[in-house]
Amino acid sequence: MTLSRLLLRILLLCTIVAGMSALPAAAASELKGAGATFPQPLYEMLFTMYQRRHAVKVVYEGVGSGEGLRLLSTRTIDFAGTDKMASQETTDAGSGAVLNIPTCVGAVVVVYNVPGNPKLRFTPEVVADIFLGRIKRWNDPRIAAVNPPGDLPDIPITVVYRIDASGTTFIFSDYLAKTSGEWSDRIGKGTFLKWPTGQGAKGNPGVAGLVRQIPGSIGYVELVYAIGNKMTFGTLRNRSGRFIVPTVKSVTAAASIDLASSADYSLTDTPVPDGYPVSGFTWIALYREQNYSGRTREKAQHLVKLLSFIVHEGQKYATSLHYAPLPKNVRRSAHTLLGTVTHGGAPVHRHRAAAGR
Amino acid sequence: MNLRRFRIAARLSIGLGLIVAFMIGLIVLGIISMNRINERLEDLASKTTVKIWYATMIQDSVHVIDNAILNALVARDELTTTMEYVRIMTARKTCESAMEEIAKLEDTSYGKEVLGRMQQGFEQASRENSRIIELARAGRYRQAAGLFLETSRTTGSFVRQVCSELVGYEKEEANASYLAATRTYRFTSLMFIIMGLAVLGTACAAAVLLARSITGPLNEAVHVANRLGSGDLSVEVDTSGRDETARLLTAMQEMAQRLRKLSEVEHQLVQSQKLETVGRLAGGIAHDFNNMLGVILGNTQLMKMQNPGAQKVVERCTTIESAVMRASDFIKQLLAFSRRQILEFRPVRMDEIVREFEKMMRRMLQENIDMRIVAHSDLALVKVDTAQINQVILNLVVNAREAMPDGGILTIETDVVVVDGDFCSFHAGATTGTYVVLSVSDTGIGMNPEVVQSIFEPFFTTKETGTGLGLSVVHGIIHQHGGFIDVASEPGRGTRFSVYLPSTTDEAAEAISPAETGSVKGRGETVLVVEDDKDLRETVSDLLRLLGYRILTACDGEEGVSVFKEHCGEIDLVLLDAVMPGKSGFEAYKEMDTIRPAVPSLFVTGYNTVHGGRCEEDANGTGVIRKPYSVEVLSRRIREILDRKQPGMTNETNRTVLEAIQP
Repeated sequence: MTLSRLLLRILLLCTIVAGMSALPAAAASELKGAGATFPQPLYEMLFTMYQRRHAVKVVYEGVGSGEGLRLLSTRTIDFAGTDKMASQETTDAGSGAVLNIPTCVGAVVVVYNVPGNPKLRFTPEVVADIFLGRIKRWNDPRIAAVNPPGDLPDIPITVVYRIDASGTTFIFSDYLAKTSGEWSDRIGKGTFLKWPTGQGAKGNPGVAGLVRQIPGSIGYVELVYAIGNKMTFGTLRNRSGRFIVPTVKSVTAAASIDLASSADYSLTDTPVPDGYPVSGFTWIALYREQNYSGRTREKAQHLVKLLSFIVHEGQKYATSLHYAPLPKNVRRSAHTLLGTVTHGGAPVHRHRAAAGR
Repeated sequence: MNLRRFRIAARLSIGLGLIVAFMIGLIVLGIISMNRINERLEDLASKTTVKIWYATMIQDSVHVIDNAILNALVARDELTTTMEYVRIMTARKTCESAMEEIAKLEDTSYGKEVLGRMQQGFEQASRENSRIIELARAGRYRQAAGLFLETSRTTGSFVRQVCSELVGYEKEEANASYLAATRTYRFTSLMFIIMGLAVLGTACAAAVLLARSITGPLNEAVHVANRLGSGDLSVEVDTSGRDETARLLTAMQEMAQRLRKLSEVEHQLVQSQKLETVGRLAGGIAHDFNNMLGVILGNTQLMKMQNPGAQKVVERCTTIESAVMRASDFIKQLLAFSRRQILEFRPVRMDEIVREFEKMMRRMLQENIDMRIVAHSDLALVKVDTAQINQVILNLVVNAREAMPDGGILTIETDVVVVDGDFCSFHAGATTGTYVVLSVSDTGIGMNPEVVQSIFEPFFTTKETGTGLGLSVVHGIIHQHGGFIDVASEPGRGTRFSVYLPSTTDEAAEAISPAETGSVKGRGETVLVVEDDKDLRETVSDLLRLLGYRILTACDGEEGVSVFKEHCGEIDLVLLDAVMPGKSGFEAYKEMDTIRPAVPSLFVTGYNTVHGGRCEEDANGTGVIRKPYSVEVLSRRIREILDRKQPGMTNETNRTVLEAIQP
């Protein structure tokens, strides 16, 4: 008891001293980011690692892709995490070009809370009808039709959706709009949608939490949230007619397409036979010209270094958190993009660029 | 408010409509308030359930966070830490949204305070958790575990405890709200019962009011009808209001009025029938009586003529004569009210009659009576028998005088009025037209209505010495003139008799009043006397012979005609009794007229057989003489007719006379 208390005091003292000494340094070398909750677990892990190695503190808040981009445009943060490529319009027009650095590939899975946790298969049509409010009960024959015979409970379906502007919603709706004509007509795709039925929640954790709590509910979250919360998720039928379980492998397979053919880097409804159909890149958005709002060149260098770390070394950690690493060509183009970041017109990342070569 | 201003149908429909509207209003109100209470209860229930559910969610999530941290600390592995971090994030988000939801639903201050404490605790826990995760990520697991043991667990349990507190409070609150809602429910149902009773009461009152407003007048109508049925025509009917019952009562009132008029008319009819009966009786008597008087008078006069020297005999005869004349007057009066006397109509001015008669009237009145005459000279003419009208005025003036033993004012007025249908309906015998009114009013003792009803009955009198014929004579005369009488009397104030005589457009005739004195002798002319009464026939024959006429006699019409045929050329005048058994005088004369036209004739009659008939004196050869006649009258009339007789006299004039006399 006495020992532990003594230890604690020492510890507290150390912390205070460390804090005090770190304070000015931290102020100089702290990077702030915010946005998508979709890659948040990966980012948190990578930022901790980076901090450990480079003594640069990185703070990331999961506020959703839309809010992240807004915060970037108001110069509140240094970079924004987004699951939908930031276009010039979403950021302030007067602040110059925005770069979208892809960081990894994530899968959006359909999670549900059905008593007995049966493993369910879904066709895109059934998913669309559930989220349109057409299919109202779990024992609907259309759900039963694509599933092996088993007892589906006669309970109502509660749809849980994102109420904040979200890249996850964008990927999910992009997929539904591609596969369901009615969805594309009535709802369309976007980060923020008008949902015909259901209940809203904030962020991937919010949706995961609500689905965990509400029996009979169904929602869509990034794969890691489903696995991390030990939730059941469905297998989806892809364009080739196969029911695919979302795994790193199937997501990686989905991403192994010729991206030159896809204008917006969309991976949904992939033509790859083994590819999981609802997956997408997630990005970090930053201004190409970093000399704004009195930012130092050092800070710009830290940022580029951090992103370079994510794009290169960080990729090997992605799979452990069930994200698919970037395909090689994407990694290369990301690297090229990072080389274009400037501070006061001068390239920031000369060293790394050389190393990359 | 008088409901009878509205029709029954309107009343009923408004009443029923109001009741239905009330009922509907009540039902709607009931449904609304029940719904409200229901909603409130449901709302409460769902709110509480949701709040408790969220609180449980928070408890769960806090537990998950603790669990996740413990896992991460035990595993001491970067990947596990990250995965557990995902759980922590999820649980935190769940907690946050649950607290947001509770905050949205929470509306009591205590609940808010508890929630505030919970949020504080949770925020503290979040900060500590973040710190622990940070330490764990940095690989300082021991330190993290220490911190977790020191802080996070306590904060976690604090949050859980606050949660339980909130749940307990919510349950209590829900209970209290439920009780309050139940109270409201009870109060509302009580209100409804009261309102229902009020509506019921109002409806009952309205029903009673409506029923009364309908049955009341109906009962009155029944009452009125019963009274009318039992002959009580003086019933008063309340006809206020504008509804159907009012119309019914108005109709009944009109009926009563008509019945009253009818009974009045009936009464008058009975009255006149009574007079008629008496008149017939009197007429029947008069005929024979006049014959008898004629015999007495004729023989008396014969006696006088035959004994001119015997002073005593002449005197006694004169006494008999005057007695006979009085008796004749009495008969005349009887005949007057029975309207069977013979009248001589001439168009005259009423004011002239009154003025000429004035002196006579003044003589009859005592000094204490002030007589005023208001006679307009520009009045229309009336066709009357002046003597009869004088009789009427006399009778009325005598009555007025006797009504004012202590003196007063007697007013005689003449005027012209136009009588309309309305007036006629109240006066039996009156017809529309222009009338000259002669009114005699006094300021005397007056009469009560019962007396007024009987005054025209013969032999009815209020005077000790009256005959009871005065006013009935007036009545008879006026009716014979085609007029009527109106009496207005009030005990103590006086009486007014208004005599209505129909006006005429004929020219006024000059007053003729030839002096009837002295008998005129015959010049040997032959007179045929047709008279059924043997005594009278002989008396008349003796008288005429004595006067110097040659006499032929016949005892009835048949014989008269045969005698006339026999002595056709020699007869200068036929004296006929108008009323005879078998062939009457007129019939006999008609036959004689076919044998020898335009024979001068003189009819003798006791009374007029024509009811209300008129006889006009013919200027050229035919005359009428009243029984009993004195020798002077008889001789002069015969002389007049014989002297007037012209050889070329036409038949026409005679026929006119006959038609006028005959029925």
